Amino acid sequence: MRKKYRKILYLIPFALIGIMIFFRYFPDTFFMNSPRYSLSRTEIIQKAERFLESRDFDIKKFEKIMTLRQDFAVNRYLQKNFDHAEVKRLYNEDFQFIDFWRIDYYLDLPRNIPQERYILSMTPCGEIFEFFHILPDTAAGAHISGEEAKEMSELFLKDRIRVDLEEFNLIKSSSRKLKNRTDHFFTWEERESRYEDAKFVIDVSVKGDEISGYHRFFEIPQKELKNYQQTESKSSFLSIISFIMSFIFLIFITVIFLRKYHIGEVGVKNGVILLAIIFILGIINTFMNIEIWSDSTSIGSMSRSQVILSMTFIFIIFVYLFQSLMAATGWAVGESYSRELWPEKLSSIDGLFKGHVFTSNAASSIISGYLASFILLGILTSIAMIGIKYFGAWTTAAYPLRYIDRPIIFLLPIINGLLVAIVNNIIYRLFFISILKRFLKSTIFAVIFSAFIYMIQPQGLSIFPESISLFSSFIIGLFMGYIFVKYDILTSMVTSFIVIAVVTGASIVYLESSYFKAHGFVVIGILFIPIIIAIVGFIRNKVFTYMGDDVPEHVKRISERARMTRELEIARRVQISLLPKEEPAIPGFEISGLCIPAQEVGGDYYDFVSVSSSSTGIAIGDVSGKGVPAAIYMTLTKGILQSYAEENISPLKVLSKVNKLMYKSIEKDTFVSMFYAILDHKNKTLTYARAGHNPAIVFKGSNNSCHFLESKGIGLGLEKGVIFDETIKEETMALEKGDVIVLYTDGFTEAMNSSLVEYGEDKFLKIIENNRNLSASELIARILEDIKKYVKGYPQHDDMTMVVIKTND
Amino acid sequence: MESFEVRRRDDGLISILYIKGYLDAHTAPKLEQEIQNLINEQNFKIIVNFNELSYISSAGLGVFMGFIENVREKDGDIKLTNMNPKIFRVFDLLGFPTLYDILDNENDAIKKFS
Repeated sequence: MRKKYRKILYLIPFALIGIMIFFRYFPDTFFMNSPRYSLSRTEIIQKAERFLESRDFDIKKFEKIMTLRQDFAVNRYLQKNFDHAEVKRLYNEDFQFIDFWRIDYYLDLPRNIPQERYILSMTPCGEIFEFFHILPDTAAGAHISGEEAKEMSELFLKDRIRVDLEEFNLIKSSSRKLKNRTDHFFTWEERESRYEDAKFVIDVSVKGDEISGYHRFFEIPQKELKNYQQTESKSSFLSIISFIMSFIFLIFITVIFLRKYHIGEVGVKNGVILLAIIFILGIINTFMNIEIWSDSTSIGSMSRSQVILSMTFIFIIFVYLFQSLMAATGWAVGESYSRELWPEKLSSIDGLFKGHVFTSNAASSIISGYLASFILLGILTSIAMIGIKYFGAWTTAAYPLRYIDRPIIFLLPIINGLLVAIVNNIIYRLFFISILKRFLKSTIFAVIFSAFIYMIQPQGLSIFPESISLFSSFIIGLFMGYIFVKYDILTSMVTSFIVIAVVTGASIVYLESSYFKAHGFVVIGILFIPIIIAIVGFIRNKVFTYMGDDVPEHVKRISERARMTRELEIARRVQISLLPKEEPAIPGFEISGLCIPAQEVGGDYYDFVSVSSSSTGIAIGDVSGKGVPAAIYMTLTKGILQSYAEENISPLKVLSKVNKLMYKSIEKDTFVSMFYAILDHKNKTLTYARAGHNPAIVFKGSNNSCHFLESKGIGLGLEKGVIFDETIKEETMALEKGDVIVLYTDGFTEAMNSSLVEYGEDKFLKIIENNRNLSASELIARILEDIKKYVKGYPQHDDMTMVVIKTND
Repeated sequence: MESFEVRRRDDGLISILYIKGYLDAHTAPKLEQEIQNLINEQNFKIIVNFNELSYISSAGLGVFMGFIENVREKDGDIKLTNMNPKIFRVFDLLGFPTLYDILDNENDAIKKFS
């Protein structure tokens, strides 16, 4: 029982290395350990509200939404022009706004009508670098002069913002006279750029006689920005491809699902359970994110709350219902193929479905999942580090923090982790790898191919350029595929879950504010739960397997089918080994034989017997029926004939003895037709007897004539011996140079094409006549070729066997 | 899947089965069932009319083998009639004419029973 834990042991050193790399380099690489995040959400909001109060803005009638955003362009510019350590310093000094809190105060009105709004942007340590009071053009205000407005602005900048205007040039000023007020706009630019070609810019706007807007930002040269836009279009191209692929995948998987359902090889119950789990997780995920997802959406004249409601509905139905259907179908089909190929991949998760959580299978899967996740964390960190250091890659600052603006911070990394872990592993590993292995017959190609497919879906490290992100996705796909193949589906699900939860959840502990730290620790705490489950399972040491009736019907059917296929394959090999291994080497003669069963095994056979030093027995037989029963009787026939044939130079006597024993041994409704001949090497004669078999065909070399060897005789096993012995006759023919004798079974003459027309005796005679000058084996090959051309791929319905005897001198 | 049909007609104590189509491993059970029914009803004078049969395989031949002893023990027989030349050849090669009563037409068979 503890044996399976040995497979895990070798992971431990790699896991240790991986997690050390992660701890040491991840926070630094992704700028996580930044002192910027010193304020909690509440503190940020408090600061915002105090600010608004100081500007006499009445927030009471407004709703608010708070999101964490990034300045991608500035981020990219800095990472492009400065090295990593320098960038880190800049993010904590002049560029603290690189990710920022955006607070939007709005009225619950449709977005397409003019309305009052207040927008604030604050750095994570509370500095307000942008605010904007949006007023409808019709709102009343004063009309002051441009000069007055400018003085107001300069005073505001000097006193409130503490800007040293000596370092700035006023580069733009404009006014806009409205019916009820006049607005003024001013722009200052740094005299000298301190960071490459870009400069800091300050915009101030005055509406009426109030400072209504202020924005201090870092302006990137136009041509740079154009470069950045190019890369965006490339990634949307990829998104289109992945969308099309998902659609094709859905059709493909529905077809397979219906086919498998039809033959009773899908387990619907577990599929439904998964569908419910994923759907519920999706609903929770939607509710947690929908406000933010809807933030930039405007639907006609719908108010904000109506937009949020409709988006919720759209997401739940079109995204999560779709996703859960895909995953459930993917599970049903993937599971079905897996049970055939490698049923052990499902044993630990089977236990979970049945409610057995504390099993040793689950324990070993969970532990290996954790260890694998540590390795993957190390790999991803290394890719990011190497990419940044040697390939000019850049990341978005603090991308792991994407969830800290959600309502319950610790919940989303967990929910999202579960969703992605379950759905992705079902689709890319359980389904794709199993089905690819089934059809490509190679595990390695299946893993590689599945990694490619995984790569195209938009996910992976948030690292640019696209090529490095794709590469990291491909590596993840390969690694996860390897983990699935080496362990099982539960292991790979645990691995994915831990990686996502750690990167987007646990990493929050690196932030300065104790508020965020606490949430990070909650995530870490939750991640201990599976470990506890694993420890309990390990101690209990109870393996989960399906017992007897407990096995779901579809599982029984699949394993049965798989077992039968394997057994038949073995039977086929055994039967081939029972056919003659060599052709008899008789001076002056060529003898060749061929046997092709219609199914895996068949009831036809041919055999050569060494009767004496100067005579060889040649037998061809056809057991009634086909498949396994016929094959078993064929083996019996061979055995009986071989025993009677040695030292007995009369075919008639041999067949008579064979008949008596066969009649006693075999079932009433079975019989065997046989043609048995003994070739006398010295006298060059063929003595033969025919027990109900197709008459042999003879082409004489001397005059090209053709006749049949149709001596009297009934089939073997039909009658106990009285009538058999009365009827059977033995004949002898002299063999001359050029004589060709063909023994065959009716599988050849009865070969059918798709119009169900038989090949027929005439064609058969013709093809032999035309090719009788070839060697014995060449003649057989030629006949076979002609038959194959005739049937044009129509399935063979009877066993085909042939022996050709050629007299050469 | 090729088709196979059996139709039954009773003439006094004699039962005649008219077989039509393809008699092979798939369809043989149908014929087996019919003959078994006759035996269960104690009808042992059986004629099988091959007039409309297009094809027979070794599995089909085996059907008759399975019942012939039993039927003959009860003083009955299974007589085979109206075979076309191709079907007859199949029986002939195996030597069935020496074991079974194979006749040209149904009436001959009926006469032989009385």
